[in-house]
Amino acid sequence: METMTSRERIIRTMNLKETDRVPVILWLFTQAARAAGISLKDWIFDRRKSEWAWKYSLMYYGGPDMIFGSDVVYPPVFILLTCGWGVCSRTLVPGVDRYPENAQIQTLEEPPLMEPEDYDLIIAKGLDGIDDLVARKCKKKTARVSGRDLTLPFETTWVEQEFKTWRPTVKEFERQDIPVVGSVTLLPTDVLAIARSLRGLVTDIYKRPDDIKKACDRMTKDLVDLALKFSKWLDLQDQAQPRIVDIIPERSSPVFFGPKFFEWDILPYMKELGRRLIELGYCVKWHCDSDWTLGLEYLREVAEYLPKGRCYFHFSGETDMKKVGDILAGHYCVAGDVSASLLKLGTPNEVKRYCQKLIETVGSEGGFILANGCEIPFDARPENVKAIVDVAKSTVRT
Amino acid sequence: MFSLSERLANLDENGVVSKVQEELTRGRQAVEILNDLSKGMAIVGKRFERNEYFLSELIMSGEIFKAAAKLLEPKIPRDYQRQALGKFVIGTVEGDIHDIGKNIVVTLLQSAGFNVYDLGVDVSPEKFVGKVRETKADILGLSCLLTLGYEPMKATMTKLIEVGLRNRVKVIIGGAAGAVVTKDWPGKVGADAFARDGVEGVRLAKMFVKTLKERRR
Repeated sequence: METMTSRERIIRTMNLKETDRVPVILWLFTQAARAAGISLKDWIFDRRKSEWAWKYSLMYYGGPDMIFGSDVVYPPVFILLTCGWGVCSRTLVPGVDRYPENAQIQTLEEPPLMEPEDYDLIIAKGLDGIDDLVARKCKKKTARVSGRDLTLPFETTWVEQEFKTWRPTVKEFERQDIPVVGSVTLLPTDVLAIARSLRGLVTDIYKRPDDIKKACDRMTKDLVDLALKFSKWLDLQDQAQPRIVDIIPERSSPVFFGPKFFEWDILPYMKELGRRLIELGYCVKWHCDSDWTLGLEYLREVAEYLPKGRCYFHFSGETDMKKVGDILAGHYCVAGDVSASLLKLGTPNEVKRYCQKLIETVGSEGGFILANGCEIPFDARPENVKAIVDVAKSTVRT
Repeated sequence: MFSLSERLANLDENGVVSKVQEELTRGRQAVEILNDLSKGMAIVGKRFERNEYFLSELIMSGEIFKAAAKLLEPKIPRDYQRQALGKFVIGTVEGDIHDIGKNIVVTLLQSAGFNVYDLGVDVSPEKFVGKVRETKADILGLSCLLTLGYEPMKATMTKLIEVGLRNRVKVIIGGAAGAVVTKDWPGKVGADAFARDGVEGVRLAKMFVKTLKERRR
């Protein structure tokens, strides 16, 4: 029988203490639409259906131990960002132009938003400089979102309002002692990798390394402030622990830039962002996207630098989890990592076998949260997603 | 003093450009210079396989290669057909518009000596099959970043069978560095092989071309 609330379970797991069962979390994102049987177009553009889909899918999957605020707030905001950031390049939005209602949202990153000469702007204005670039380069001046024509670039007041309308829903979960991940931010290098494109940033590493460093230094405080802003908009700044900020080192894995660049321009900011947020009362979820096998020792270094029990590492399905077991598990909390491919093409039994093996490999000493890897894709089979929750719930101690 | 190949392998962009210009001025054949650049790219690939180089070095070496090849282009005789290793048709499958990985593969294949026909992104099965037929390609490369790429990959394979081209072309699939397209995908979609990264893709392509040539003899 379960004897703990989700909140107790997550906090104890982050502190490597024994729990009544393995906790489970799902980053549902577009999968909510699939489970609830609505189109991706409606998930993005119809606020009422989107909220219903999210609540329905949580119920359908049997209630994970933590909720991602981004799952609910993102659909409309995401489309705005897509239109805003993808101003210079091609975007694929379901139900828009020739694309089907269930096409996956995608943005091409080239041509980039930011040119090499724009480093001066970022060094002078930080993240506000990115907004300036969007304003300057925006081709489409309006985007129709949630039935409103919004002027691009970001209408901050609209985004803020959008966040605020979700407060009651988020509070509902908080009251049930289900923690809500209420905020998100990026590492400075990832902002540059998005704004300059991966190819652009790579050439800059060789041609203007000092500019990269100065831009990253300048953006660090802004990225902390961004996390605080999101948290405040959802009224979660005083939520009970774990008050988690999701930091997404999307292109920061050593597999992209190698150890030398990682040590110079990524590791210091992981430590700095983590330290500042934890000092402000937050915990950090490191969403380790792509392959981190070569970076596991660095992650250990980050964890050792930060106060114990205040962060965990979530792997997305590409990292060697056996090595995670050897290097991190048992010492620091880890989560993951059922891959998108298995969730789409596997069977419930295959998913269950994978999860059980995962628990043996990285969760035998506790400190493990069973989860999907990166966001669950729209075309994942719902019965496979459910299998993850079923395995976690079957671990209840008798 | 480093050779042209070594300069490229060491990612010395200025060194490569000045050396190419110097050798052209000395009257060396552009085709010979191009071969040296290819050797440099092969060294980059080996360093990548040994985890001495990473994705950023693959991208940077590709940029340098392209810049140098641009200098050589006007000097290569119009009727010169590079002794291509083989013909390679490549693209991102229908419904997917991601192309970072695919573009890296294209540069690696070109530098290795393949004639590459890059169809871009969101490519329909009909377009892939049409290009394979038109070019008499040896190899077809199908790329995707998202799981939605599974169905169009399968549809492309079905189309190849329908038009009777399946036995004439080898098919390599890949995407998201093995995170989405995994080693069990070829069996499921009916392709010949899965490449985790661009360097492995080139290695497989060379192997397949050798096999095809032996079979055609």
